[in-house]
Amino acid sequence: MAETPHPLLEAVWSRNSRLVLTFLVLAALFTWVGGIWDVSRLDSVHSELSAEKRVEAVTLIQAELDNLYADLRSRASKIARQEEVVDGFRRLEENQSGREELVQIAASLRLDARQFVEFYDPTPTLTAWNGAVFPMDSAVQDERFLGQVQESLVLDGPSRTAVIVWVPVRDGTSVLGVIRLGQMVESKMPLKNDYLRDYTWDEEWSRRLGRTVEFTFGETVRTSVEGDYLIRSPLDFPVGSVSITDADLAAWRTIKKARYADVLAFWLFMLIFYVVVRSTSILWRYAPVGGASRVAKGTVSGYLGILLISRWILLIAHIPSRWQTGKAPLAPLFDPQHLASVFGFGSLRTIGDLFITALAISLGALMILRLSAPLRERIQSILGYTNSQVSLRVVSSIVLHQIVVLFLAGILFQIAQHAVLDSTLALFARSGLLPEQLVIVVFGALLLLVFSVILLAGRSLWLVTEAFRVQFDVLPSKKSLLLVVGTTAAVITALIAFVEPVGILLPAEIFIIVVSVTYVTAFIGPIQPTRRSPIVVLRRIVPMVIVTSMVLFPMLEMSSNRKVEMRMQDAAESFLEDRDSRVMFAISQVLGDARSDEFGDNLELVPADEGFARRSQLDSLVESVTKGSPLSALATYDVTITLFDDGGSVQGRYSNLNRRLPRAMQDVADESEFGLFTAMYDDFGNSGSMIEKLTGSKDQNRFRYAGFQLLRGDGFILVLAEQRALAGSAASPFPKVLSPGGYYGERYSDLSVAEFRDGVLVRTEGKNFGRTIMDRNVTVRLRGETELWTLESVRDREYQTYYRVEESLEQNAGIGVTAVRRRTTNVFDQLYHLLRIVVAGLFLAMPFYFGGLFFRLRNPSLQPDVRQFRDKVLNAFFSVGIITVVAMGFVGLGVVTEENEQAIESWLRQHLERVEQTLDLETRGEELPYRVLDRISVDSLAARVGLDLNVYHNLEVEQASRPELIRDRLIERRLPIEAYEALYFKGFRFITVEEKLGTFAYKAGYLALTDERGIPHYVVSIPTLPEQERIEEERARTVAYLFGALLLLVLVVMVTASLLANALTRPIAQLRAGLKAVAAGHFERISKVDTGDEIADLVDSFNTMQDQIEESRNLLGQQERQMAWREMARQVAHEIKNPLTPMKLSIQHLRTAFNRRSEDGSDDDKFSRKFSQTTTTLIEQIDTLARIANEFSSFGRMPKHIREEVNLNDVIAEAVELMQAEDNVIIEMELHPKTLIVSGDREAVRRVYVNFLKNAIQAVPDDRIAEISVSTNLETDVRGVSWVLGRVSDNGSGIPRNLWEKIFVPSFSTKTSGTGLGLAIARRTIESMDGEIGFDTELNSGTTFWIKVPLSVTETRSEGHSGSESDSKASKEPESGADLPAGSRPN
Amino acid sequence: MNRFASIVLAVTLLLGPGNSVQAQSREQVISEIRASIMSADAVGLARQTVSSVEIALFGEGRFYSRGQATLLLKEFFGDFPPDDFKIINFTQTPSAWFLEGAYQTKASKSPIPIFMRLRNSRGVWKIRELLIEEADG
Repeated sequence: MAETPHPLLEAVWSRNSRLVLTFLVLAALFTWVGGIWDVSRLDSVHSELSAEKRVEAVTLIQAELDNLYADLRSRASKIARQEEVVDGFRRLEENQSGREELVQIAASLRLDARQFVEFYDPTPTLTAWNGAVFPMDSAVQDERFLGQVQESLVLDGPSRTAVIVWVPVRDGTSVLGVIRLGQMVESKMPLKNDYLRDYTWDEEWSRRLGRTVEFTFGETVRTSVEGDYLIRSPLDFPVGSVSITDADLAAWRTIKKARYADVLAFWLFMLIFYVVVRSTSILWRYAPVGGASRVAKGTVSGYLGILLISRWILLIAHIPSRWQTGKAPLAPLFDPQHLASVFGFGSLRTIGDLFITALAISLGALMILRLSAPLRERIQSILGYTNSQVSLRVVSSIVLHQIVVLFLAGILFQIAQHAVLDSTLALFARSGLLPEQLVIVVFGALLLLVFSVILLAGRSLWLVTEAFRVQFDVLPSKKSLLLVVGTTAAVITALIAFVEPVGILLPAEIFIIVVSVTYVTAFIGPIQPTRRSPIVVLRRIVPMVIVTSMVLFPMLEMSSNRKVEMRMQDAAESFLEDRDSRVMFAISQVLGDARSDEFGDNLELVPADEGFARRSQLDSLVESVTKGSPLSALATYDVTITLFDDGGSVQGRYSNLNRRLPRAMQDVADESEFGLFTAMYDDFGNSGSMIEKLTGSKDQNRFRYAGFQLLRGDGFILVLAEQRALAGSAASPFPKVLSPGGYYGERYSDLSVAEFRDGVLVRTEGKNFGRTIMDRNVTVRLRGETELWTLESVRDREYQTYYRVEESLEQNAGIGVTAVRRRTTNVFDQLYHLLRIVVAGLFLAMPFYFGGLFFRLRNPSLQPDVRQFRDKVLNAFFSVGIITVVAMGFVGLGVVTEENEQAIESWLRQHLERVEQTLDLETRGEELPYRVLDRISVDSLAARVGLDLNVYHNLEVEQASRPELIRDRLIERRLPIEAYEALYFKGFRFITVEEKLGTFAYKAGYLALTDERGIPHYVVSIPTLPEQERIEEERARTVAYLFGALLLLVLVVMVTASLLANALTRPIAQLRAGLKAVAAGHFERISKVDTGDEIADLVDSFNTMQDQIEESRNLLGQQERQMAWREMARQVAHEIKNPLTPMKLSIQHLRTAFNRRSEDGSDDDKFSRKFSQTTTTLIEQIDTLARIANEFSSFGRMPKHIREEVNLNDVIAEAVELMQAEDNVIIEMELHPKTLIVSGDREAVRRVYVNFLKNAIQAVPDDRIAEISVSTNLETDVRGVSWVLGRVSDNGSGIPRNLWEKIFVPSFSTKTSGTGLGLAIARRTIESMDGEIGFDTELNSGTTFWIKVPLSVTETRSEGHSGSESDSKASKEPESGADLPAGSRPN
Repeated sequence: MNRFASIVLAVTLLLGPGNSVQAQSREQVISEIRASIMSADAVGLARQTVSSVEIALFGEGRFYSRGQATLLLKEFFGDFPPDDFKIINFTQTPSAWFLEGAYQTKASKSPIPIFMRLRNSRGVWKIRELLIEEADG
């Protein structure tokens, strides 16, 4: 006999599947062959294709340029047509008063990124502006300027380029002004960091086209160069040229092959996708039918195998990461720079891979959960057992289960740890409530894994007990079970804690958390959906997310701490030998300035004599290069800058040393080093800037940095920065935003590092080492150790410190200890970290929630039958709690932001007041402060107030303490329009304006120094760059703590809501149960509620009411019984009275006849007839009395039915035969051909049918031919139960509507001779058979009485029904039962 | 040989070489680095880095774990298959070495400059910083 294929395999390998798979394989084959052919023909078409692609690219670029100009033209025209703008220009033309209006309009314009706008009058003089400042372009020289729209281009030095559109503002035909709208196409930053990035079309288009694209903007168009294409504006303005580099043949081949490989990968992906989706859907549908026992273990393993193989194929084929390159939207997900781990054999290769792996694992876990659901239901009952014996099997299964949990938790922890250690993402950065997108994906993937592991670990308990064949009816009691579970967990925890390799793989705390949650899941099963409460509702999702997050949180926290500790160890190692990137950068800045034309020109301007004046001028010149440089901010370094001539003689010098050598001695010392640096410079290549780290001149344990380079013309410049003997913790005011990436490297970002020699602090970086000597306790503990980790409390602040004893390089150098310190996180930090995970979890859960909501709304059948009061209360509490928390969050955030704004504004105001006070001190006589600025330099003023300053005059920057910021276009040279409006038109003396440096937003304060007429002569501004960073950090911390506190509040609200809901609903549930019991006829008191409130009163009242009802019921029963007896007596009397009257009359007639015969001797025959007639009547009436007595007796005596299996057809046939014989009518029979075995009293059933038939015969009027029919049928209801339907129909007069209700009421009868008990007895009989009785009637047409009784079980099986457990029980009974004669089968 | 002895031998063989630190010569270290680069062996090169190595791939440097560095270097070698690698400059301090190399790829004419800083930590030289810059031209 051939083996039947497994239904799952059969479904997977169906005809449709074969068609789809064939199509995909053919598509892959065609792609492969097509690719080979296409690549092979490249040799011949390469050059042609290259040219074609070039032209396509240039066309695309030109089209985008046209669109850009068109957009600018449209926007500028819209501005020029604005009524307010025209009006402003009109008024400006008339009396100058329109300027303010135009400034207001310009300030209110919302421009796109990199756009700027300027309003000019026809002269053209600038009136108002907004955005970046660019020089005038050539359009103004065009003779058609003001006549029509002009298109142009402007270059702002080498760093910025913008396309420009000029649109005249007209009033009728006259031109009132002109709008200049521009958009940057190139913006190069002097340095790059998180905030400052270059934006160039070169990069933009190179990325888009996948080849090198170079633009040359301006008039120097290289039209003669082959491969260059001219690009023009729509009005034919020459914008520049574009050069597109072709890939060579080999590269083309590689690109082509890669493209075909991508398509092939697509077909492969579709194949995998189809197989996974198909097998999942089949198994998912198959599971509830078959259950765990029906689905072969091989099938489950096969499915998990499909998932595993599919995942690996995707990994090997780099799907989908191969399609996500360049600017593809999901590209960052597959960029190893964010996260990449070799752990997991590549399944965690990138963030995207981690997420896909998590999805695959979740799918597998859900499938296992679904397939093993019946097992869980079966085992749930064990909690009810009270057997105190603990069998070996139970212990073994629990031990094995906890080993499984240990294994799963270990893998989970390792994945979480690698996701942190192998990541460059700041998972817990204080960046607000929402983590950045990539962090959300990482958290989401890890939460999915945690969720899957919890489910699997919970379910594995049942699988293990099944595997150990634990007998559930001899399971130990709950207490014994808990004891075994607790002991096993304690032993494993101890093992983890004391066996180091295991502890490294999985910390004991994590095991305890996972195992606890596992048992809760295994026993309570919080994610089991029920009919009353679907799973995808917020009140279930939110707690699930929170619990999952709370399991993940300690893993991430531990891993983050591990990462920080590694960083601390690394920082300690590198601190001794490291190059200080701040110094390197500062020196490179100074050397850069010394290379500039400005410095060269100034150097040449210094007279070439040997006098003091030359030396003084050169000293000043050297000092000038430190202005605005981070070098001047290096408080922990001695800085010397020296100019040498070619022969090594010192020409000029700057030094920040407090105690200097006499100049002549210093010159000699410097000249002696000149030889060393020129020799090194020779090695370096004698060109460019050489920056080196050298051993310190005074102390070999400290370093010095040297920058050396050739000057334009003759001579050299040497910059030396040497660490001071004891570094203070003076923080550099140099802002992070103006430092290149890595300047404030990740290594020390939140760490403080210090070096101690013989217990004395010799240098430090960061703010956390305030003491100049090492803690004595630490010194003691370090004896004989090479390193030490401590938790220290310094001035109420908690720190973690790592001490490392260094091997001294020098003899007699003393014991060196390097210490690295960081502030430990507090509880609010941790809550904030948890909050970030929860938020990511909610992001992940929301699609499921909305999907569930959608399906529930689409399918009303999925709506719960009953909405539980507890859920309603919980929802209400949740809603109120969440709304409160959100409101508090918003208010709190608003307050923090407001406080922050005020702090910055206050800081700016105070410092600008200091500037003003400083100027006041310098005033002479009645002189106004602005006059002082004519005499002193901004550097001097900036040095006095210790701030960076810009001084504006006539709207442009006149002086700046950091001129390079203006030069590099990091700060615009023109006054911001908001400041202009406030200070010049609205009369404010002080204003703060929000500005941007790249993407870094900061505030700048502007102070107007007015002249004698009250008009601003100078405007002094202070940018808050360093202060802003500090305040932003504070704000971030406050916001983080606020959110952390809010999460705590959410947790409290949820727990309180849950407790309150339970407290409220428990007595109500008790009341409900009590009411249900009342409905069922049970009058039981419910448990007393000791809350002492209204609910307790209600419960008491209910119990009192219960007592009263029970009393009333007893009384009522007594009365009912009395009533029944009375009624019975009345009925009996009535029924007996009826025949007594004719009997009395008959006897009177008989007596009269007898007397008459005696008196007149009349005919004896007549008397005989009368006697006979009367006695007949008397006998009939006595029979009637006997019958009445019998029937009352029958009704009063509850029939004791003897249940037996009766063939209904046989009983009906007997009744029909009887009635046909008695009443001489033809009764038609349509009986079901099969034997219909029902369970009931044979005699009683026969009486039912006799009653039906008698009623039917009597219901037919005399003028009709009786048509009586009897039928039986078989039907099966939705639950699979078979019923016998028996009908007795007549063509009688039918039953009037008003009698329907009384038909089955005892004593009701339409017949004068009936007792009215027949149908009442029939109903009792049928109901005793668990059946139903009823009738259908139509006036003057007839009536059908029907019964519906269940077919006996034996008979059901014999008809071949199958599929339920009862079937299997039934199959043990003799199969032939149905064919046995009725009544012959055993009971 | 009984089972216990086999286990002891296996553990000794596995742990033995890892526990002893051999003094490394400069040539040996450089040769190993060069061999890893020439054979595009990201795993081998990453093995010669410290556990948290600073890598800059044509831009800003970041600190990567060794595992992350492996995959990052694998991607680099995939995008720029090596043709030749020469050490063109070497300087040293007591606790650090600086290497400058020219990395010649098959696709590009100009070599890609690679800078490495190695740190000596308790007798072992490991790459601590790896800067890969844009090729000139």
